Amino acid sequence: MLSKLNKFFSSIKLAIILFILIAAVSIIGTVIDQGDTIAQYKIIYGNTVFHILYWLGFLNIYDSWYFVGLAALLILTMIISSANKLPKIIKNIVDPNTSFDYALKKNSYKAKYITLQSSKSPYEILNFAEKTFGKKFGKPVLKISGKDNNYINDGKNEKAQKTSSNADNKENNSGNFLFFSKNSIFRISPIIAHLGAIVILAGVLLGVALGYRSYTNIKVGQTVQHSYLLKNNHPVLLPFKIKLDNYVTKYYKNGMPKAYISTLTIIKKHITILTKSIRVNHPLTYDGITIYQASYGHYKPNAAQILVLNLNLKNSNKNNKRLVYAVPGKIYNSKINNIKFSFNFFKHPAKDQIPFYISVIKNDKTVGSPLVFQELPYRTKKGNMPLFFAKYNNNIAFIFAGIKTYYYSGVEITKNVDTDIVWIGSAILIFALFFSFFFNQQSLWVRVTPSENEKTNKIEILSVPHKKFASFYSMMDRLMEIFKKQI
Amino acid sequence: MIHMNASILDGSFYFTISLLMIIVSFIGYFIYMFTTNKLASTASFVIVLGAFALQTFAFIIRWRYSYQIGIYIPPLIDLYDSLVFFAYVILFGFILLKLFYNFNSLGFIMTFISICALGFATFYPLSTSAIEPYIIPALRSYWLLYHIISLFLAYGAFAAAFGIGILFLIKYNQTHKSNKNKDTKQTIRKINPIKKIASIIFYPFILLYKQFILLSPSIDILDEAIYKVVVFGFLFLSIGIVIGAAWADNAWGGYWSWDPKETWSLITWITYAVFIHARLTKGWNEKKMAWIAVIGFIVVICTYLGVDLLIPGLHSYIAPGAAPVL
Ligand code: HEM
Repeated sequence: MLSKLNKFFSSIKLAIILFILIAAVSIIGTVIDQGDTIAQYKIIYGNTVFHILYWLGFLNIYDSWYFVGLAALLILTMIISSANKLPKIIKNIVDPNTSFDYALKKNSYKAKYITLQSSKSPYEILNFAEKTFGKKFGKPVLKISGKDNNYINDGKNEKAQKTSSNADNKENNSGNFLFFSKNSIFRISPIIAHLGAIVILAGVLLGVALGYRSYTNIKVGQTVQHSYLLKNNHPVLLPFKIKLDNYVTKYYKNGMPKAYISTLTIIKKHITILTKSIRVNHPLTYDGITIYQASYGHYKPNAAQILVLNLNLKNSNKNNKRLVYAVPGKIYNSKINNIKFSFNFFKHPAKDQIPFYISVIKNDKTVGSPLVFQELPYRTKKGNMPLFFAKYNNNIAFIFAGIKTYYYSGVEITKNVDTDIVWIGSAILIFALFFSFFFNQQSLWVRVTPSENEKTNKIEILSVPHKKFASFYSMMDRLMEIFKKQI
Repeated sequence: MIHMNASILDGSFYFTISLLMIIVSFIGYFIYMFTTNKLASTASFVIVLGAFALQTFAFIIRWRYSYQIGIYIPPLIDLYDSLVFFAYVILFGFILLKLFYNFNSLGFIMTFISICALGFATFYPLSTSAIEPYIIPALRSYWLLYHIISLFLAYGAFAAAFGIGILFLIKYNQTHKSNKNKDTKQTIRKINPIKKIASIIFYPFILLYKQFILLSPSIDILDEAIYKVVVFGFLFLSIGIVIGAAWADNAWGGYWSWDPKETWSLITWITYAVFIHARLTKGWNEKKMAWIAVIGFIVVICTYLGVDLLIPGLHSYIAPGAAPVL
């Protein structure tokens, strides 16, 4: 029973099925928008379909139990199949099975087996073989050579016994025998690749279980201690408070945004810990929690900064200057000569006309025609700046001093538990993939036996690549040509 | 009106010229396919080398230009950039394969893919070669460069695997058909007269075509090449995904957000992981592997272009600056 389960879980077929299932579920997630609100889903799909999709878990599929389950199953199969293979692979490295006949029987579908006859002595033949094949296969792992030309068939060669404990070997590897094994150490690399994948998946699942991704919007000057989970908007209490000191957007000359910069202060138990600016690609990490610049906006309509001046300074008192933040269309009291006004935009401004104007209001009624702004050059330290200027009755001036924006900054706050695990797993995986793919284990056996007529020796050459590559066989053909010439 | 990217300033002119050269070499390879004329394939390869050199030059021009206008990031950002880079990587891969395996017969497929990518880059209205003097903040990062280069090396390799896979399937079917024909020669066959006339007219072509099939590398070599090219691609796909994840972690606060492009790159990765493992199960022969290489490239195209055209997300090339998260 146990061995059956074991076999089931380490089969590559299961791995392929799991891969395909994970891919299929992932595709569903790209076809159906994930993480929209219920209201949006009901509009898109209608009530019934929405309920079916909801019940199937398709609306938050990457958090669904079956998706996480498939990932867990993938880990399990990788662990079991690797654990099953590991002892065999280690044995192959430290104590390879050198038996000729066993290798021939087991690898018949990819082995290249050649027999030759030669009148040269086994000693000479093996030396030629070592020199020829050594070019590609390195030093032989095992070399057994009879002391003289006679074939020793007592099966008790010391070296053979020392090198290999395998029962098969004792019978076969006596006499004149050469065994090469190249790159056998790299047979371990698929196991390490799987280890890397296991570490990555374990890190991901840990992060899903313990970490969170959340967001919050902070107004300039405001301090917050909660943020909201991205997946379901549930609030999270942060271990510190965050104050947004300032927010600015920097622009390129053509008006495209260049950088979004928030200045944040971290406050813990009324103590200011640090103040730092964050922008995209440059987050702030404190106490295992990382804060990223994610978005921005304004929480009140943009307001025009209107400076109202009393030009008639004869009856001068304190109130001859006042700054008003005027939202378009709303009425404000300047408190200068009891003048009320509103700031407005023209619906269809003429070409080259300044597109906004002031309406002066008395007794809830607009008086006169709109006060059109004029552009006056105004000298400052940085050079000439346009100044927008409108006059009312020659004693009140309105100066447009720019737009005031009430910014908030959208930040993403994440607690990434053990992303390092994911990076370590990735590094392991990539290194191991390299060695799995580009180092093919290759074994070669050469056995020399005297044939019946006793005058010539029979040479058997068996080469086995771990991966069946045409280039391996053509390389062997070339080596065989060289070898044949020598003997 | 036909829109065409061909400006000397931003280098696209040279890419367009290289497109013409590749079309010529494609024709040469096509002639080679039916005549097995060695001269045709050699001339085509020389033209491919010339086109590759010209593209290298064009990239240098483009890169310099983008630095001149104050973008301190190599021009690998929008759809045009990525398509020309894709064509470039494919040519590079073909040159390597040709040098290592002497794959003349691959020429017509590889130049064809390259023509598709460059042609799309040059004539598709949403792909413009102009480099804007601004880029959105999220892209102002060197991660981008390594991310894109890795992924395009992978895509190029998968394109090559696709090409070799097709060659494999043609060759495989041809060998099997001729084996079958030998078996059925003795049995009486009824032949449709139209088919017969057609086969007489096209007989010389069929003969030449068969000769081409004979000349192309053996099935075993093709199979090995598919594997090697795929694992090269898989390695760089893995590297590219990891770099992308590290970058996303850096910029957006999470290494994975199941954005459609990310998800599809995972699906691509899984497809080739299936390829790698399927080789190890005994029941799957080489023909199935060739099919996976062909299907895998379709998945790559889905990831690369399909996702952009159909599902908007963080990675869209189509609308510059339209990323929902800064
Ligand atoms: C469902 C889980 C998996 C199972 C049961 C499984 C099983 C296997 C087995 C039995 C082998 C043959 C090992 C050998 O040749 O010594 C193998 C090879 C390999 N596996 Fe997996 N595997 C799984 C998932 C993965 C994953 C997620 C990766 C990630 C990249 C991976 C990468 C590899 C590589 C690179 C090889 C070597 C292939 C080659 O050398 O051609 N495997 N796998």
